[in-house]
Amino acid sequence: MNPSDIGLRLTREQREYVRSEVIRRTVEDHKEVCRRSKDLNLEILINDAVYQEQERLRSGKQSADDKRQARFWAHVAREFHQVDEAGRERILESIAAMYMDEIMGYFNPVIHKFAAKILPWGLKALLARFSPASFLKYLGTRLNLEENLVLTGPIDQIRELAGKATLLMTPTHVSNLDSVVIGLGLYQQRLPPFTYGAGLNLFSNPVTSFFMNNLGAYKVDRRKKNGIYKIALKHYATLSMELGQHNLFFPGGTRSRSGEVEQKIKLGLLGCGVNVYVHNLKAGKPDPDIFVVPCTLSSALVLEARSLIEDHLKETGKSRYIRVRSEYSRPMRVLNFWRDLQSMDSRIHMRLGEPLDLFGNRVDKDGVSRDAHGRPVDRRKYVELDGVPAPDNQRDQEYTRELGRSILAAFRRDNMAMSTHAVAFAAFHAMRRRHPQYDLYRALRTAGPEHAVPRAELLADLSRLLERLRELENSGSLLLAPDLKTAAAGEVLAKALEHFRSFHDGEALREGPEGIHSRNMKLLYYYRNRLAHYGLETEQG
Amino acid sequence: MADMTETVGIVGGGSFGSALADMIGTKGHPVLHWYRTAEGAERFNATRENAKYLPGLTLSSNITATPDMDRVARASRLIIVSVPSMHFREVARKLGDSVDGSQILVSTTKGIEAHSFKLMTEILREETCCLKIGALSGPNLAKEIAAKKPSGTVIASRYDEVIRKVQDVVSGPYFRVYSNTDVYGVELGGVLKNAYAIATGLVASLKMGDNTMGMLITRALAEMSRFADKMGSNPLTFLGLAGVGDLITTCTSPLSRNYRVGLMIGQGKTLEQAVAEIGEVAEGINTIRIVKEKAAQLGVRMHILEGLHSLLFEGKDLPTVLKQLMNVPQMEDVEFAYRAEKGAPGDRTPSGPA
Repeated sequence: MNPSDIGLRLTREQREYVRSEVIRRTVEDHKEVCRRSKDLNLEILINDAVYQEQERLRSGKQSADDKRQARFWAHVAREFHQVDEAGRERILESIAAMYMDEIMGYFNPVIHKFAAKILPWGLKALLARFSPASFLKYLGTRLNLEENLVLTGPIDQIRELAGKATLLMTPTHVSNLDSVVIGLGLYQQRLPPFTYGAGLNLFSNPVTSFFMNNLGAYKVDRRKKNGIYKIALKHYATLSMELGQHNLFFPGGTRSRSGEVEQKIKLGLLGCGVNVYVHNLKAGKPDPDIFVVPCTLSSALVLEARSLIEDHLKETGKSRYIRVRSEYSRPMRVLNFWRDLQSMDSRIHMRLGEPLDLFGNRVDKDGVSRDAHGRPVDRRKYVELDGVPAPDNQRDQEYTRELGRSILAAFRRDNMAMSTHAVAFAAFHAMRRRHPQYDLYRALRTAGPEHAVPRAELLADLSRLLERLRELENSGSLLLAPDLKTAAAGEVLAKALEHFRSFHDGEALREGPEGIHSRNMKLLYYYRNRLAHYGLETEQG
Repeated sequence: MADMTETVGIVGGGSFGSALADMIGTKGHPVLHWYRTAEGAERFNATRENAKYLPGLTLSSNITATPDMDRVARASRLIIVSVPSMHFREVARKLGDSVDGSQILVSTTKGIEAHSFKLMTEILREETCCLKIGALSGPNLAKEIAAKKPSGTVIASRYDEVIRKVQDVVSGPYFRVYSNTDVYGVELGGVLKNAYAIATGLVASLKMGDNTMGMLITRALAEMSRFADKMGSNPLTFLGLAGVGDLITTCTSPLSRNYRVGLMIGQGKTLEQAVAEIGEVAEGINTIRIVKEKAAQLGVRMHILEGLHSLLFEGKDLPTVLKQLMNVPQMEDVEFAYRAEKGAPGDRTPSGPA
């Protein structure tokens, strides 16, 4: 069967197959872990899940669903010590089954078509936690998202490859709006829909939940850290790819808190690709290939910038509980954001990168892998052992690491510098130059007009930076927004100040009689970080 | 258990490539040994001797020399690349025309590409479609290996399959192969020690004593591991054969070309005279130039290396350099142990300028 024929709609039988197969594989994986380890058994693994889930449910306010889960785990806690190994296997099955019922979404092609058409009108309401009734009321006030979303890259090639292989789209992640924006971009370009794992917070209101459930999203609860949940989730993505569904997931795992383009990639879900490829080859499928499409999103402003950088600074280096309430859940912030998008002639740029195979090689329009010199590569050879396709976990993990490197390189190349990024970069470094003895944290407290930078000084810095950015674009290391390609520093500064004024109330950067200053250095730092890791720091002092 | 019928490819007809070919062939593996020229291959097949690099030794009858890279790639699952660093990229690209991604590639070359600061496994990755790549490095003087004197080496790779394969094929009664996953660190150890061998040659020529030699080698190790740490490697790699093992051998053996360069300069010869007299490539000279520049970019303290640079390329005399070295600030002896105990300052600084 041609992979594109499957789409996201599964028959009742296929859904039941996926559910039971994920449960079976999850149980088998755990049994295998126990067989290999002297120190682990099902009792310990279940105990760990019970402990983590009960701890999670104890913290914070409980929803009705949380209460139901708490009852479930209390029951498991009572039972699992008292039963034999076969009984514990049944308990493990019931845990995996509960997770599967939560994870599995439902794709409705009619809703998909409808949603994609009305999203440009409805996004405002969709994102602003309006009720379905209010949502209908606001349909009339159309926001021209169609005109504000620019999708570039080898689109024809990707469309063609989608017909002969399963695609894995891996976008950068800055905002909760990303999956919606990507979904719309794909639809506008007549690219097929992708299934994806959306955070539970996107299911937290009736409208969003309605769309998420029907746009092919499955639920991912990042608060669940236990192994049983993670393995079930991984098997679900694997099964979905085995069935030929195009998958999307954010390889950074979560939104970039610092504002930087992703520097690291989580290999877990990405690693499913090689497993599926080997499975497909062994099963003799006519279209066994999985191709990866990196996708880089760039915008002048980020809806959740303020809370993201707060999170980053507080929690640097550690994973954490994802805050459900942020700018995203505040209607006025969302409206201001979209107003800016409209009035400022802003664009969200969605750049699809060159498709890659699972080993990091480029794939051409005919689906042929090419090495760095353009020579064809027989990708099957990578997974053969003695001439036969065979899995090898350690080898395949390393292949995924190679792929991760290629994805990160694509993100870096396809990242688009905007006026806000360039101006924030130049201003942040000019301000830091005034207090070279301050460490970062202290520098972030130097907000206010008393730390202003004279306009002329900033413009000189910005001119140098723009020159360097243009060199980077010429060498293929970065993309520049159209208005940065030729504009003088003064125009770029004016544009950025206008953006910051319209959405962040001028907090990130503003101009006063003293010069140009920030009222929120953290926000400035956030936008500045989009241009980190390009070697620009030393030139700015 | 190694399959003795499995052909092993060796690319490069220098001293180490030939010594390895002999060792593997003697174990019973058919070896296809790639030579740059048809004449060189024919000469070897007729005489079984590498007259230029290992004169007087008759090498294993299981070795077949060939200038045909396609043949080597088709026949071999393991291909060991052993060519001088200055020709490495060119040969790797040629190899890239022949391999199909199923082969395991292992570099034994200890060198660094000047303009890119790339190590040899990185070049193999760029020039071929192969992913299963490793580096073999350690205290391995070719002449001693060819003479079957007991020694050990390190195979470094991210891939277990590469490690298993190389241990199966290469290890033998007089050659032990240890493993490491820190490929960059293992390769860097092989590169950096060449520079310090010039310094120990100098010290030996001046007959400064064993205390001086002990201090010099140990501080060289500190510099090497500090630099490697900054480059993202594990400094503990330098406690192994590819680090301190190779450093001791190269820094004390008259068989080391770099050591001999230092010895001659200490005896009053110019760098040019020393290089001309040795007649072979002394990688340490280039390493000093390249690493000094990189260390300056990274802000890594490398006093011995800087001293060597000022002596060889900036016209300073030896007494002045030695005086400077004896006057650099006295820091902690084992800095990584110190850091582990005290915590490195700035460890918790978020990304971005600090």
